[in-house]
Amino acid sequence: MLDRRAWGRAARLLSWIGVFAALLCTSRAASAYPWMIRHQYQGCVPCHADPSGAGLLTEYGRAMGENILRSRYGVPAPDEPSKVARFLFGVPTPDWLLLGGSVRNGVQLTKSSSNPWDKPRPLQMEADLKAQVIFSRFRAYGSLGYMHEGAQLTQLTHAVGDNLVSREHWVGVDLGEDKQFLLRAGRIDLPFGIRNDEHDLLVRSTTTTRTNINESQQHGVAFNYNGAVVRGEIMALLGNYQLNPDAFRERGYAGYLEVLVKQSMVVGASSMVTYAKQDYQTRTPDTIRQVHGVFARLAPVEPLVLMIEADALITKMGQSAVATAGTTGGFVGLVQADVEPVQGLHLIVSGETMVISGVVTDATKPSVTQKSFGGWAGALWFFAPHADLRFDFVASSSMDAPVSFYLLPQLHFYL
Amino acid sequence: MQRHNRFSRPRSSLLGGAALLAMLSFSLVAAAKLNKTGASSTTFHAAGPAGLNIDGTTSEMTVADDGSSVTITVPLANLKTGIDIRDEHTKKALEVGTYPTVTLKVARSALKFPAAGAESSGDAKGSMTLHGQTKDVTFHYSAKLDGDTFTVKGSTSVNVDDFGVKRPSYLGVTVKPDVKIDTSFQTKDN
Repeated sequence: MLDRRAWGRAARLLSWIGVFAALLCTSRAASAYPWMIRHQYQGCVPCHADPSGAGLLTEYGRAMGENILRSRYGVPAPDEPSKVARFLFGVPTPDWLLLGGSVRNGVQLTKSSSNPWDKPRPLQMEADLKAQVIFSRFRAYGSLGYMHEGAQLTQLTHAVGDNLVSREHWVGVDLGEDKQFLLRAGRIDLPFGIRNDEHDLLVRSTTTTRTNINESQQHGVAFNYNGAVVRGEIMALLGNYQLNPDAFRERGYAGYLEVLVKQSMVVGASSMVTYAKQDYQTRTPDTIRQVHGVFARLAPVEPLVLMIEADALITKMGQSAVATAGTTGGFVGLVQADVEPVQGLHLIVSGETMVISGVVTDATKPSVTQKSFGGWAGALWFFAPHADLRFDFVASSSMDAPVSFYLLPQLHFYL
Repeated sequence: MQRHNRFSRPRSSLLGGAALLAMLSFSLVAAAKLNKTGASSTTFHAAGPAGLNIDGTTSEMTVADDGSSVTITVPLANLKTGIDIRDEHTKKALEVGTYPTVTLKVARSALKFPAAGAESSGDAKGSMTLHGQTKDVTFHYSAKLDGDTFTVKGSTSVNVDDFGVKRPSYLGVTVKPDVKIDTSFQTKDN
């Protein structure tokens, strides 16, 4: 028999589950904030279960969300960790269990070339639950979510729409006296470049480097190190086993190494080489993709963080019935500035470009060089506990196409 | 990562200890007394688990010279770590209300002094008072004399456990005991 207090707790839990279910029914990937370097958080470990960042928050990460991430409207952060920071705004969890979730919805308005603005298009971007179970040095991490459409690379079910997705699921063992090493196997965010939120940036996009945290995860085995001066991760890519047939699966490696230059500056390098019997996007056979680059994050003055990345792209394709064997090469670059004029409010400006040569658009004509560019202006406001609002305006031209525009307001809750 | 009782009293993120150092050099006049001039900076580098680095910095410092020894004093009240609540937790750990400063006292005879326009460097011993406890420390220093102004840099490491500091721990993230201290300042012979 439950006593009154237990009934109260149960009712509270059920009400929050109801709120989450409602959000699911009306409702991008987990959040990663590389600009936290402004607060001397050069790495990701204290706040995220994933040592390379993004995804499920630790209790410490949840507290930082309350203390330094969101607007506090003049109220100082409490000396004691706020109970509101906990899972579902107050549910205590044992030390061996981390629980979380993320729901992100948006509305996209698009304008291409001289055409008028299209009708607003609701976007359900993310509705994931996440958990990590810890037993001594061993841990198991997983996410399970629902997507009305899109995120095909993460689907567990394969209906035309309304699918279950799992972006990450892995088991690992922490090694070293300070647990500074993690060996893990499963479906893992690719260790490459700056782990930022904006999965459509050219440096992260599924159509370019394929290294975003929205849907680019691969199955494989990864070894991570987080030291005082150096951190990095190397991963053997065994393929995305949520993508069929097997010919589409990319195998190879990906990794990054990041070095602390000073408290407010890190520089790094990334490398990835994959082979697929058939590329799942271009359908070209025997496709070898190479992406190699450098990146930096720095906070030259307190309110400003600069994030810079440049990657070389080399893709070698085999001969097929409809395409000629060949190699394309080029680069993609990003410069992003994040300014936090008052706690919780971020103004973000990004410029990006990509140049690819050797592109065959017509088998009867010589290959061409294509250019893409984009400019982003946005605002991100952590306006309340567990919630943020983001607005982006993007102007871009893809592969020499006329400039198009889109507006994307989005609302994000984490549990 | 250590996981302590997550809902007990926090001690925020980082930073522990403190200390300071200095060095001097003198030109020639043994009876001359050093007097701080210009800007100064002291940074305490603390580490947490798995690569976490936190710096606490202050620009406040005084230099006293009684002719036989030099005492560098760094007030801790305005130590900044980049996050207000972390500043507070750090100061609580150091009990700044009770022990407001860190001092380093060095015998002038322990220091090598550069000639005008030259630089000198070396290791020296001094006594550091932190958290109300005084211990001998060894520090490295360098000094350059331009005109009548010495530009001084020094560094040392301390184990804050040795000074009785209860290290900050917040939701399973606990500061390591070894804290590196870097300081720089300018001083003149009076």
